[in-house]
Amino acid sequence: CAPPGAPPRDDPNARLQWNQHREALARVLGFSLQGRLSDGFGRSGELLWRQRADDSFTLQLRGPLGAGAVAIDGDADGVIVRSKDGEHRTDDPQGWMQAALGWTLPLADLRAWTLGLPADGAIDRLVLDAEGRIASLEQHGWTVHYDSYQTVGALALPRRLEARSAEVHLRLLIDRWAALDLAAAS
Amino acid sequence: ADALQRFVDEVRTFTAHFEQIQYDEDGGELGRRSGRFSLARPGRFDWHYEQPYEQRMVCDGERIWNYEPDLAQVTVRTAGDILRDTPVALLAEGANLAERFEVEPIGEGRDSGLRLRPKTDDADFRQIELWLESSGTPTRMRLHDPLGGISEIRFSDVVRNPKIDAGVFRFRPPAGVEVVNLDPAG
Repeated sequence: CAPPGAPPRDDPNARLQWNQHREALARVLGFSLQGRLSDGFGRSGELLWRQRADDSFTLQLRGPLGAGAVAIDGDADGVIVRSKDGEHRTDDPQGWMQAALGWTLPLADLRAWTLGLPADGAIDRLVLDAEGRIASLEQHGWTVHYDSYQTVGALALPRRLEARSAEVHLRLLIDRWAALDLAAAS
Repeated sequence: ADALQRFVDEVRTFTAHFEQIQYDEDGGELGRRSGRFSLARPGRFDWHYEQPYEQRMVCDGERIWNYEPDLAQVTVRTAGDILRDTPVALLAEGANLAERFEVEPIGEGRDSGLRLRPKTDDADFRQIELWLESSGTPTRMRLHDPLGGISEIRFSDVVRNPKIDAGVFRFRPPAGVEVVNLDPAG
């Protein structure tokens, strides 16, 4: 059900813009964002996400006034989870999320969707908006809707998106994109 | 700590404007939020963020509501012992602090305050610093979360013992907003 006003998927103009848009996004090596995330189970908080060019990252979620702070820090060797209960390393971040949050999602998928890109792997359905950006995407058992975008430098990046699976209704609202680390244009 | 004792004994109700500054673990400023805070002992408060976006935490003494308009979500849970650790509850209760915290004075003269370290090791905050005027009026708080982040709260145009309409501490979820009950089922 493409949102009203979206061009038919094979609108050549939107398709052309999508290719350019995707190329520009593919040059994003690192980013830093601040926003709000809610998982539909009542857990919500302020999200700080720093993704670095060497693929190391930190995702920090804080409840009101910093309560319930949780961080997932990733590097080449795996992931460290930090919270009030201490710090522990895991090489199965998805398993930890399922145990701690009651739902899980590959971080690589979340990263791609947050940038407004499909994750690697099969795409069941992709609908573009009039400006050649993703309006909705079905992939890996999830449906991702992009409600709004914002301009960051020369890029259009998501401002508000929702990702639904059978169990989870994630809502992510990105208040600020900062520190975009772009690969040199080839 | 007689300033704290005066705050506990003499201040039954309290309203103030607040500004909250969030720092990351390296002391970098992440962002600022501001709004209004109302308090009525025992245990009722309204922590209402107005800028840069609205969010509201209301405790009517029995239940804590957390309303996030941008995420179109309200959570509700019984206050009970959860109230114990939230910093706002610290101000709302104030009475048996020594039971739950190691309290030690910090600073001197006009800038004297208290450092509160939770006695339980799974508290949301490693440490809370609280500055009060000699009259017992809170002026500033700093909350240290387990990730090394700090939330600094500054109160201004403080009114001690104003008459507060009880409606301030009641919350009715707006139509069309999803309400998630956080109490463990059953």
